[in-house]
Amino acid sequence: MKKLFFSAVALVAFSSVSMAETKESGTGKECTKVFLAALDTATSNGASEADAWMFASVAQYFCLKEVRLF
Amino acid sequence: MKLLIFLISLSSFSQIKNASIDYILTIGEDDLYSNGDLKVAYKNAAEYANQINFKLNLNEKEICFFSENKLENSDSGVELAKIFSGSKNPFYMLLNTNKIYQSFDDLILGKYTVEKQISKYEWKLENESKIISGFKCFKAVTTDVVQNRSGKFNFLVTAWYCPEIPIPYGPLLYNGLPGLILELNRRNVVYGATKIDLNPKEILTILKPDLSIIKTEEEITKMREDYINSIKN
Repeated sequence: MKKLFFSAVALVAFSSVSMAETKESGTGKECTKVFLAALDTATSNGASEADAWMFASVAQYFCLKEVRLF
Repeated sequence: MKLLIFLISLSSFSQIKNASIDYILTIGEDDLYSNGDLKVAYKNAAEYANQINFKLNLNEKEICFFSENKLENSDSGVELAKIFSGSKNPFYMLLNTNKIYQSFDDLILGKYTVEKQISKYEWKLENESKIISGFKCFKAVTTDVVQNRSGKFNFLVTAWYCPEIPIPYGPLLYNGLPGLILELNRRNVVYGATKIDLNPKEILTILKPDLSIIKTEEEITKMREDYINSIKN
């Protein structure tokens, strides 16, 4: 799960995909794992539930976009 | 930082009917974010923080705080900067009430407006002062307590407020100080005022919330938990 999260974080960090793209629903088993991992990591680093939720949502969003960075 | 100040006259300080304050954001080192699993995302957020401008706009009845992207396209780093700085979603308040509204366009839950009571901060006013672009500002500190599913975290919040400008608000609608907050530091995320426009002639943008989609914090918490439980199964 940690490896999945690192991938998602890297995706979020380096992607240049515009956030104006169409929203996706939360489908995709792998990307939901990314969401859960991001949520746990953000809250363990002191993020509020609201901020952690937003971070996890963004991580899942880019996971669904399957953006390759390297 | 250079602060551009537009003053009508000194007497306007006592009769501020509306105001617009611009802030910029800098994201510095954080003990947890900079050294843990989020360090890549946090570093990216720090690099893009300067692409966002923030506005604190108010009139005699209402106040709002919101972000504006300096560039047309919203890079992921910009979105991360907003998330880490707590400013992704605009704040709004009617000044004669204790209710704050925050508007969300949630990637998963859709659009909604959260209504909550304004936070009351226990500020400790300190004697230390500094000049921020010509204005003498005084230091005040408080503790922001974050209670989440992982535990309880205490973060120091430092505000530099200016008693000469009798607007008791600042970034993220932090409030309760005897003057405008020109600089706010929380977890080394720093909002700094760059422009103060008191009683400007132009009509100010006040982002009003959509009150037809109001949710309480409890309702949103339940919606989030329902989603989390649905994807765990």
